[in-house]
Amino acid sequence: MSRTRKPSRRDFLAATAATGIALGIDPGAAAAQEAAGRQRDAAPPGGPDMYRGTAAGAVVAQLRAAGVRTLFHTNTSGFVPFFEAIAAAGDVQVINMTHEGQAVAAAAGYTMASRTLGFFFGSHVGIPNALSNTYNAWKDRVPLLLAFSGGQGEQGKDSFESWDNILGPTEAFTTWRGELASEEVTDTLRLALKFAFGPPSGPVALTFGAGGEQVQAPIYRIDSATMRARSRASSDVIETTARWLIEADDPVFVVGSQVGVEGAYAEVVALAEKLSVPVAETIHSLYANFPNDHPLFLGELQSQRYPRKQDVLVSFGESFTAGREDERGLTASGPRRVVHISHEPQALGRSFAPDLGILSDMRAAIRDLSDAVDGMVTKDRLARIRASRLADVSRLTTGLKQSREIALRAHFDSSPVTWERVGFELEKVLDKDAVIVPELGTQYNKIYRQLKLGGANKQRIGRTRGDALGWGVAAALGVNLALPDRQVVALQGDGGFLFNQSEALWSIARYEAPMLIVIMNNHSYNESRARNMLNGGTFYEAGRDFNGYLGDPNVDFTKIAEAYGLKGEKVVRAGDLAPALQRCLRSMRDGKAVVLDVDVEVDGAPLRQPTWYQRYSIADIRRKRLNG
Amino acid sequence: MASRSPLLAVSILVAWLPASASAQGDRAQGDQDARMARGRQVVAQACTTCHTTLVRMLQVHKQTPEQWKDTVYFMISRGAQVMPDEIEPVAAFLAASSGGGRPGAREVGQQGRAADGAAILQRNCQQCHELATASAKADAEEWSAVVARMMAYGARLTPADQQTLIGYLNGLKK
Repeated sequence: MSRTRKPSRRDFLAATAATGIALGIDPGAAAAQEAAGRQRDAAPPGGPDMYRGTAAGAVVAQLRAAGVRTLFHTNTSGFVPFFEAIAAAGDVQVINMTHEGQAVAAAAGYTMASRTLGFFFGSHVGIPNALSNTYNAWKDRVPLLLAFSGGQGEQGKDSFESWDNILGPTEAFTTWRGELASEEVTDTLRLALKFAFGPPSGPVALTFGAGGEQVQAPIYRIDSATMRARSRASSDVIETTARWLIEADDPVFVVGSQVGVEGAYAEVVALAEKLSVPVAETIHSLYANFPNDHPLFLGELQSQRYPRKQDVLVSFGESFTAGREDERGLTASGPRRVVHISHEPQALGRSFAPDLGILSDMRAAIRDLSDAVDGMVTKDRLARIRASRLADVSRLTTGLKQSREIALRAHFDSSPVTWERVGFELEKVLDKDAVIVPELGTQYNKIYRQLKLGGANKQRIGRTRGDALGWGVAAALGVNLALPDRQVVALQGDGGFLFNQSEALWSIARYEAPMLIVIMNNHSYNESRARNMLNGGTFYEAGRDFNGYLGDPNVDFTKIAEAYGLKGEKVVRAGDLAPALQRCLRSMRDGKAVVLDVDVEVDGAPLRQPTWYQRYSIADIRRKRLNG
Repeated sequence: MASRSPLLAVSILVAWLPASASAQGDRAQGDQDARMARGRQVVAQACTTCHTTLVRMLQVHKQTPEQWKDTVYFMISRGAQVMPDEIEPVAAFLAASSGGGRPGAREVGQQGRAADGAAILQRNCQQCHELATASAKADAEEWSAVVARMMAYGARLTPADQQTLIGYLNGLKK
């Protein structure tokens, strides 16, 4: 951000006046805009641009100056001045959603794909609805501004549609909370942006009191690409890490979501290749941060088998927040040197104590490390180090690829369809640069490892690290808004879809998002059931449980799609999957989203009564005959 | 063979048969043992990184060999690092180690009371952990912590079995 860079006031004025007239805004409003523009022209040179007009208009002007052109909204009263300013701006798109939680997920998906800022505005009584996906966005460190209408009511009176400390419920999941009032409206907004981008980045909650009041406010030029505070490590810690890497017999890299946030994919691949260091990810990697078809890619850290005795582990932007899974990955090969590089200072040393904690942007750290390595060893020695490690890692990754192929073919034609087959068929038909947005249980790897993800291949955004269900479809819509030229595929479990996600189909239909939504339908909460049964117990021995079965009713997801005017496809047999996908692609090409409902296998220990549930019928217990 | 007479060929075959059958039997048993040992080693390396409660899982899940093979396929697709030539040994080891002939979860504590440390170790620990690993540990205090951790991960031992096991482990040659 720069306070001194000169904005183009003339262009801004011309565009505002022109769009006001073009949009048919009433002459009074257009005149007010023109007047406001004249007043902006009178701003002193050298400082931020000055805006004069309504407070709500100042919010729009500041958001536009920060590059924000897409706003997510759920229905409420109280935003008329804001809508007037949006209409006057002429280049701001409002995406209406029908549930606050879904709107926040869509804003998060949009932000993760575009690496800009997501903005949501809606009613304060929707704060509880918004919370689960606010939590997800906070876990994912997604910069969002969440603006809620209605200010703080009188404390202690339990007044209409209000409660004490109105933003209190968001405190755990936001990096800052503030009041977007008419006074200092753009200063507050600038501050909110600062806290949204961090580090740590995350959602900021605001009460939105800015309305039709006339204000004079500075407009700050903000570049979201450089808004996050940057950091670069000192040369001594970089050189130490480089020396450890050179001297190590069996080093390993862990790539985390900060690589994806910074888009430092090519840099991390180049460094890994320079030293032939095998690369792992964690269970919650959030993005495909390393190409999964690369011979150096090991898969997940916790399941690593090679090398058995790692002597140096370098983490690039992984926060290790998955708990025991990460802990097992970190301790699996016994004592070793651990270097943790993060652009988020709060993440360093939080889940474990590294031997070296380095605060740095990923791209800077990777380049500095690469330069340090070059400065320490000759090209010949580097080539020897590289060759000896590469042979071992390639042998392993080639073997594992063969094993996956055997596993794929073992039940290739089975029905219900295997997850591997779904991934295999998707890989065959999707574009190389398609974007996958999954919300799946731990079976996800069955699909991921059949797809080519990361690097120049398909991108993956999600699953959210928060794991609060009800995120995936709306997040995929946000991704599609950000990346309209890419095929976007939501991979969604049936259980997760039933967590309030059909609402997102309304917006997908209205805004003609030509996405593919694949419902991996095993008619059960398979993930939690399998975990509950893992170690046996009463319910395993009985072969049934209280909460695992999702049939009765067996939801026909194609009918849900059709209710929203979308196309629905149902696949029961494996052989029908490929032609169904072809029909889906044609529909997407023609601009219409498809819900593809695939009956897929269940995973985990087989149960004797998998469709059992505790039956109850309100109709049967009635004692009174109803009219009709 | 074409240059030898048919009679000589039959004589050699008859003389060779009994010894050959016995040798084949020994070899088959040896192959089976080697396959089990390999399966156990791979399970210890590739499965227990995630499945820290594998002992309990093997105690309770009674699956057929084919079902165990499918489980191995599932796990490979989910990221388990099992090489192609390890699939069969792993499936065979899991099938042999689980369900059926093994004591049920409720029986484990009962049987453990009468067992000595070596038997407790073999039954409860060695599906995943090598004896060689156990020999490298330090003292009784550390073994107490290890056993407590394994209990937290799902090992089922009575207090008496725990003490017997700790005593046995502490007495292992370093």
